[in-house]
Amino acid sequence: MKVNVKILAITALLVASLMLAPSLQARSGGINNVDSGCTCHSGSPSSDVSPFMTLGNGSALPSEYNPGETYTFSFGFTGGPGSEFIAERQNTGGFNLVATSGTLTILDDSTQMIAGQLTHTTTGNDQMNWSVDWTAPSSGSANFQLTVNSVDGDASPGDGDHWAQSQFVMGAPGGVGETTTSSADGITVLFSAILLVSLMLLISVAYVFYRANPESFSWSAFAPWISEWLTSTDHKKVGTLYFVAGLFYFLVGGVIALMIRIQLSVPGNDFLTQDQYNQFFTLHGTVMIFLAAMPLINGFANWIVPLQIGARDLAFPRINAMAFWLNPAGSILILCGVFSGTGADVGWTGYQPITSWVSSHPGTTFWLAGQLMLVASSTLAGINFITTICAMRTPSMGWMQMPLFTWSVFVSVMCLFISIPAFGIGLIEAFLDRTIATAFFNTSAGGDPLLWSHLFWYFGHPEVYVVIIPAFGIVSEVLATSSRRSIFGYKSMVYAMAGIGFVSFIVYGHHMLTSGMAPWLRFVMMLTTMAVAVPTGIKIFNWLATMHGGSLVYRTHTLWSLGFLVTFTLGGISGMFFPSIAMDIHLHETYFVVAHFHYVLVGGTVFGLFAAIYYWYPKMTGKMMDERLGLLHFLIAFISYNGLFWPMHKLGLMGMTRRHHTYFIQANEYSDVVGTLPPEVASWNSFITINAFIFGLSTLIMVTNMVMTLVKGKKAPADPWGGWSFEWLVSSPPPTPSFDDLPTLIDVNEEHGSEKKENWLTRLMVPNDPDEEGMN
Amino acid sequence: MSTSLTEERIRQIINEEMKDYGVRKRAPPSASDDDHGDDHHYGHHGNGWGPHDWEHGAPHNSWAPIIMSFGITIFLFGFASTFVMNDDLNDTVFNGNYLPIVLVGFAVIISGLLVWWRQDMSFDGHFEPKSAGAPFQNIDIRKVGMWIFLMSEMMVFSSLFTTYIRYRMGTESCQAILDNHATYSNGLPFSPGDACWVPASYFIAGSHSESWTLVLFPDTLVPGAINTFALIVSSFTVVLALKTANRTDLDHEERSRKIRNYLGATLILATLFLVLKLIEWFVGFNIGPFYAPSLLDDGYTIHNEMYHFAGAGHGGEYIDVNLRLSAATFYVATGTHGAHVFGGIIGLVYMTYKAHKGGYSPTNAVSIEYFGIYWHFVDLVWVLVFPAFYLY
Amino acid sequence: MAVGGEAYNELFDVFFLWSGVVGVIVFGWLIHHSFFYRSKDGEVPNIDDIAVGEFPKHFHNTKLEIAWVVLPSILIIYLTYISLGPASDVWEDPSVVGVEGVDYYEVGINGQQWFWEFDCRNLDADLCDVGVHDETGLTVLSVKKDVTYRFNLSSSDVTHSPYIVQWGAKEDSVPGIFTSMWVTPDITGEFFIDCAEFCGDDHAYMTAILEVHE
Repeated sequence: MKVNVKILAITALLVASLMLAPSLQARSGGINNVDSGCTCHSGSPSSDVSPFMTLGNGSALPSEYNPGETYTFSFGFTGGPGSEFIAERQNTGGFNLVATSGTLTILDDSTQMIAGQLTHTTTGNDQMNWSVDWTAPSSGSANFQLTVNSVDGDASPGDGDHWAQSQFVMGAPGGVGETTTSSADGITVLFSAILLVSLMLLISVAYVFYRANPESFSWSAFAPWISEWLTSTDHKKVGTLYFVAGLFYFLVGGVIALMIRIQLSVPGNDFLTQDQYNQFFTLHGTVMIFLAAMPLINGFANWIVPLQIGARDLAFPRINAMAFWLNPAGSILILCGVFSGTGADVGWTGYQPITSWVSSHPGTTFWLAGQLMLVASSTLAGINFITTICAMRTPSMGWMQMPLFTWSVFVSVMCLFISIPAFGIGLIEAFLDRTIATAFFNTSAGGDPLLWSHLFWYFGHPEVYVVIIPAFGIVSEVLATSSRRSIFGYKSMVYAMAGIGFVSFIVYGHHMLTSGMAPWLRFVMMLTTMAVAVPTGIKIFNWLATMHGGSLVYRTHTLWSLGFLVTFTLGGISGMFFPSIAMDIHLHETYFVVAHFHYVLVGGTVFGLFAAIYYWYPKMTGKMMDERLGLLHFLIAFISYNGLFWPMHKLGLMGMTRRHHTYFIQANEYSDVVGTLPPEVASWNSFITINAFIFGLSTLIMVTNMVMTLVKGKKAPADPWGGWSFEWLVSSPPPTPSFDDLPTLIDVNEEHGSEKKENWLTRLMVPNDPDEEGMN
Repeated sequence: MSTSLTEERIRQIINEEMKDYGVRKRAPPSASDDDHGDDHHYGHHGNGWGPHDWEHGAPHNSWAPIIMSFGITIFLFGFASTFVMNDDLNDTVFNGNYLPIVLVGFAVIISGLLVWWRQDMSFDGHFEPKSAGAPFQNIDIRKVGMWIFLMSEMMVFSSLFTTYIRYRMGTESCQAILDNHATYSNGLPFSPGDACWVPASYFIAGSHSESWTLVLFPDTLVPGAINTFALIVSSFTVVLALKTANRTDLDHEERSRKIRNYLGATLILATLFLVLKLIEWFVGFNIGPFYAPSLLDDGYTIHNEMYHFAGAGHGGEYIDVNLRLSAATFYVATGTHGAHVFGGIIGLVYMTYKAHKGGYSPTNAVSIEYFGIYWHFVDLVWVLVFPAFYLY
Repeated sequence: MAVGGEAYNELFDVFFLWSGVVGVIVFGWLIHHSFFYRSKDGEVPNIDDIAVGEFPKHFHNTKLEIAWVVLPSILIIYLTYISLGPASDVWEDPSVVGVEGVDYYEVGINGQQWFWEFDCRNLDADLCDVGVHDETGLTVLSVKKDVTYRFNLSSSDVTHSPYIVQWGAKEDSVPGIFTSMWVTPDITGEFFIDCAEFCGDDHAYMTAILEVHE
């Protein structure tokens, strides 16, 4: 073991020394290649070259500008190889100018604007100085970053080519502008942030450890304790890790969502710039789906599935640990662009060609790479769960005797497992486009943006069922247990889930009904999508019928399940509007869509997960959660949730479009800005933002509840709610290994002889009972 | 986290079970144990391998997952920083400053892999976990897992073939445009630098080959043809290794030597495959009567926007075509297959080493079988890739 | 008007009506059961004799289950059927859908980061004209009422989607792919064209005006 610690230490040392290596600072802007001037010359920065920037008449830049006035700048460089070849000036000078505020206007054909930055054209490539018009903003100081290339003109990069970078500042009138700060190297920011976060994590984990046993705390006991968590392959520990990571990213995604809501609370808001807004909504989607919802589901699946099927662990525990650790490791890549202000800004769907070559943010490349790691994680988790459920059920448990949560995990993992390789290949193609410049989605080379859409949605649609189906399982367990009944129509529940899983593969085109897909394919997708409603309807009616003749015991998880029924039904009904092509043409990419998928993803998945938290928390920790805080959480969250998302339907019908960083309302007595939306949109948006904050903060009640009860909650019995499946057989929390002897499932239906085993399908699905054979 | 009860329980179980199997007693990992599971396992046959040794105690811990995961992060971070597409979208900018990060990442991944293998070295096949439930009753769980893994692999290659079929069918072939005298089939004129499809087989098996020493066997096809046979033969040597490992009539040393040799042969053939592939892509060859330039020298690259396409049967006539898309599809599809071969090589290195150390016997010969399943799959994929990309 | 007009409104009303019916059934049922079948006096009975480790006895009613497979299916088939007609209006040639004798005019719409370009081809200024809006400075496309147009969509860089907000009509303009949108304006006035497919920084500012005159 000592060797491994050494390896870790050496790795850390290598990484640290790399960070300190001055060579890494050489490329201007670090990982932010937006700032690196003309990237065709990889020479080093040189003191020979000195950039300059003056007013058009040759006088120095004034220290303060007049708001709204237009200045003409003359800028360029002196020195370096570029100034030596006077006779044949060819491609010897280049520049890149970034202005933090104000507007740059092109004067002649030697300059051009690319992605908001001024740079030279082919004509301007032969010059040493250029000029441009700049219109001053109304307030705030203006920074100019000028990068110049001085090139020897031998048409090859490398030696002899020099570049340099300078900053110029014009202060706001009266000196009220904010002081300028020197921008740090991107990679330094990134690694500092990672180190800082790890340090804080370590401190807080140490504090948790200290709190657990304040008297006998010692650092020598802490190290093995923490390394136990880092190296564990036990399904319960890995499940807890998944759970903690998922909850952490749930809060991160929530904070991002609140930023978005602040920006949208009033029309024409400038709380976030376009650039920041685009990064935030991209990361909100990615973080919530891949780093919050799926790890939370995996956390419960890890914890509960082996217990429910009477297995001692998952089939491949180390692969399970690997699947977990790929998540936090990948999340660093997904989020790292944000540290240098250049996160992915393409939407979570990453439509082409914006992802593969238009987005200038290096963060987009890292985002693709990070998702690739999550694809690997999901594949490994998929192998694990499918194998476990197929092969490790306790011998007495047939397929049609598995608890519904296990069934739901099985169906959802199957969907994920079969669909995610398509996404992985799409990611690899886009990643290679952005790095080694392949041409998969480059339209000028014949690439087809719709290929990405097909690969993405072939995965993307099953993916949304992947996160909702486990919630079906959870609600089936919770409602049946709380009603003190067995679930109504167990078999039709299973067939409905399997049906939803199957249909999920042939409906994905409804995301592309306006994307220029072949019309006949749109019709096919319309028909299949409509069909999704049938199995979903079966499930809802079965849940309602389960309550019939029961005796509903109101606990927090019961409330969340009933809340799930309400919101999921609403989400399901609004979903019926999309497959109908004529309506989808109106509703596509509007807030009606946003409302719909938040109704099924938050009202479905997240409410289901909340129910699961209240339902299985006693099993996982051995402590009962506080029911009064739970009730408070449910009431506040359920009401504010509907206040948050219900008005979005209305906004969508009025024509408010998704992914717009701001919106303008039509002229009225308060505003003379002419916008596309009716005036009431503004007040609805403010209302939504208020509710978003209430909903976001209400989650903290649950977190408080979890932490409080962990420290001083009541001890939980083995079966606090009266469930029947095996997880209630073991003590709370379960021992390791969970079962001394594999438990035996008794099927009360078989005693009545109602189970028929004649046909081949039943024979395949239900194992032969060895005892029975022995008796014969 | 309420360890006391857990530990007590584990100890109790271990004590009971150890008696039956006569295995050396060992302490389960716990909060007070500053050592880790893997050291206990190493070198002791009969000790638990992997997680399914519940008969023998607790799951064993491993640093491998966390090391490998963060290694992949560092590797991808470095790769994406080192290679960046340029602003003209037609070439990559190489930032050498970031190359050390790629290498560090690779080193970390390898070290994680070594940790993983080190823990697996002692697995001798005792207590191989069996599937309990229908429909896989009494089949090794690892075997079930391997087949399920291949489901995912099948989707990977299906997606690549989707890309291939989409672009192959949706992009007009350069030959057809040339046949129509630089006009698309819809009558629009073709202008230099426009995209059309040049299959790799044009360079490999088509009329483009500069010299035709054998009429039916263009030179550039030689590496591909040898590769096909190399993979098929290597599939056979894996089976021989498995068959030998199952033999009980040989003594352990001789059997181990034979297994090692068969696995070594597989390793050499797999390496041959990759080397020939790289020759075909980047180096080309000129040996005696056989001469063929590499695809790189032919101009079949992912960055070539102006390829002089002369086609077949048009004398000196040519068009300048953008073949980036067809090249990218070819390199990424066959490259993904190559990456799978590379993965197999990494596995084979370990297995050959383990065989050399005498780690295989009839009790754990199935490990070779499971590798063989993967290897046959890689072989089968090549059987599809070869005609699609090299011949057609 | 082919899209977003009456066809859309009628469809929406029908769907909304059936949503209401389904909603009333489900929520009525839910509310009734939540109150009627709640456990009284904190009592926790064990109705189905559920015990840990025992698969509980099946609780089902085949007739009911078949009923809620068949009834929703009938509703779905009906809703699909009424959706088919308006859907075909969207893409197909009017002569194919049966609007005999109607000529149509082609107008090009090109999306570019971040503005719309309109191409009137050789049409008269009465049929199609491009100008600048007085108050807002936005580009204006003027078209004539009750004339059928086919907007041929194209894109210079990334995927855009012209979205005529008040009509609810949109179709992506994908670089390298030909897409089109059929429009027959039947009301006069000024309408906004937004971009509905995310296209980069100034996505929200990509606005133009569609003016319909007599």
